[in-house]
Amino acid sequence: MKGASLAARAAVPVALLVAWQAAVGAGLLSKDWFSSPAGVVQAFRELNDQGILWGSVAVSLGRAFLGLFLGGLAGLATGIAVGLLRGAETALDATIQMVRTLPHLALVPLFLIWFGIGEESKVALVALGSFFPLYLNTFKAIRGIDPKLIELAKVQKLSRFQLIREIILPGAMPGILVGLRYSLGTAWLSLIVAEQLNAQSGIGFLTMQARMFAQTSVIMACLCLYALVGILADVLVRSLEKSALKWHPSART
Amino acid sequence: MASQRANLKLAPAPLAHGGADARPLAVDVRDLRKAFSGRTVLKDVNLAIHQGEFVALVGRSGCGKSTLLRILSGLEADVTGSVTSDPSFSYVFQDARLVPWRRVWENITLGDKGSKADRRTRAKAALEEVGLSARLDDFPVTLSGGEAQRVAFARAILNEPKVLLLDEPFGALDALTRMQMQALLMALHRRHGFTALFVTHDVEEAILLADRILVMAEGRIASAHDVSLPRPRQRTNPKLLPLRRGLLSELGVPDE
Repeated sequence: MKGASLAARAAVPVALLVAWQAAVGAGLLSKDWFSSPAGVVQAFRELNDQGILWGSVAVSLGRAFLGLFLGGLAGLATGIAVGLLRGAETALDATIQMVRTLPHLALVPLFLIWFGIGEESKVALVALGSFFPLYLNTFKAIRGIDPKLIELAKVQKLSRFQLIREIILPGAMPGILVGLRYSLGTAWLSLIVAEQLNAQSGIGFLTMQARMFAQTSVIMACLCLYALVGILADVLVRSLEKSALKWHPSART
Repeated sequence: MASQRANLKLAPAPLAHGGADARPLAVDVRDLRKAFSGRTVLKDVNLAIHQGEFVALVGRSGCGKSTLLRILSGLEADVTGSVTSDPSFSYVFQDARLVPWRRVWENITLGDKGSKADRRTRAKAALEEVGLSARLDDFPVTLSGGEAQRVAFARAILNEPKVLLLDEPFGALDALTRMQMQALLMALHRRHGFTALFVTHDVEEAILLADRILVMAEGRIASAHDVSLPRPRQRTNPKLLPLRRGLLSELGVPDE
C-alpha cells in the first residue's frame, strides 16, 4: 500500500523530468535558456572534476552556520530572558517587535556600508535573519507554559532555578525547536541573498560566474545544491525534535 | 462536647474546635476573608483541624471550598484574617498534574534535592505504597487516569508531610477507580497519620472517609458533623443514611 502510494506520488515529478529532458532534446526549449536534467548532472560532474564543488558547499555552509550560531544563540538567549523576566520584556520586546517589521533583507545596502563586501556582511545578514524566529518562538513558548504546572511548582516548593530547569525550559523545548527550524530557513535564505551580491567563494560565487558565462546548467546545479542543503537541515532538526520530545503524546502513535 | 462526636445526626459540632480533642492543631484559620476583584468569596471562615484528623469539606461548586484549600497551600494571597497551617504539607489536585516530560520517578521526587540514585530509590518506595512500582520509568502520557492519580499520591506522601490538602482528587475518575482510590487514601492515612483536608462535592465520599464533615455555603462554614462510625465503612451501612439525607438537604438536594 505504502509502496504503491509512493510510486503514485512520484509519477508526476518523474514525468516532468522526462518531459523536460525530451523538450530540450527535441529543441522545444533552448539550451541557452534552460538546461536539461542531463545537463545539470553533467555540470555537477564537471564542478566535481574541477575540485570546486565540495569546497564551495563547505564555504557556504560555514557562513550559514556561523551566522545561525551567532544570531540564533542571541535570539534564544534574548527570548529566554524576555520570557522569564517582566523587566526584560518591558525594556526589550517593543523595540524588537518594531525592528522585526522591517524585512531584514532590506538592510543589505546598510550592511554593505557597515561591514564591507567581505565575509562580515554575509554572516551579519544571516545572523540577523536567524535572530527573530528563535527569539519569537522561545518567548512565546515560555509564556505558553501551562499555568497549572507553575502552580504545581509552587506547592512542590521548587526553587526558581528548579522551576526553570524542570518545568519552563523542557516545556518550551517544542516551541524552541520550531523556532530553530524557521531560523534555519531564514538563515539559508539570507545566505543566498548575501552571496548573490558579492562573493569570492561559495555556492553564490559559482552562480555568479556561471551567469557571466551564461551557463544555465551550472546555475541550475547550484539551485539544486541550495535545495538539498535546505532539506537536509530540515531533516536534521526534525530528528532532533523526535529525540527531544519522547515524552510528547504525538511521539507515540 | 464529647457526646456530640458520637452523634451521626445533624446536631452541629463546634466549628472552631472539633470537640474536646486534646491533639494540637495542624490547621487554624480565624476570621478569614477573601475577595476576588470586589466579589467576596470567603466570609469570616473559622476552622481548626487537629493533627491526624481527616476533615471533609463539602459544598456546591462556587461555595469557596477550593479557594480555602488554595489559601492554605499558599496559592492564593491577599487575604484578611489569620491562617496558621503546618508548613509541611502536600497538595493533591483534581487532575494528577504530572509533568509530561518527566518520568514517573522524576515526577514523584519533583523538587527534591539529592542524588539521582537516592531520589529514584525513594520514588520506588513511595510508588510501591500506591501499588504501581512497575511504572517507575514510564512517561505520564502512558498512564491511565487512575494510575496518574496514584503517582500524584506517591508524590504527595514522599516527604511524610504533616498535612495533606486534597482538592477533589477523585472528581475526574470513573466510579470503580474512585472506590479503589478511596480505599488507598484510607490505607495511606492509617499508615502515615497525616492530617487531611479533603474537598469534595460528593456527600457519600465525605461520609465514607472523614472524621468530620464541614458544609460550606456562600463563603462560610455553615455546619459541622462528626462521623464516628469505625472504618472501614460500608457505603450501604444504614447508620449512614440519616447523615447522608441531612447533608443532602442542607446542600439543597432533598433525597427522596
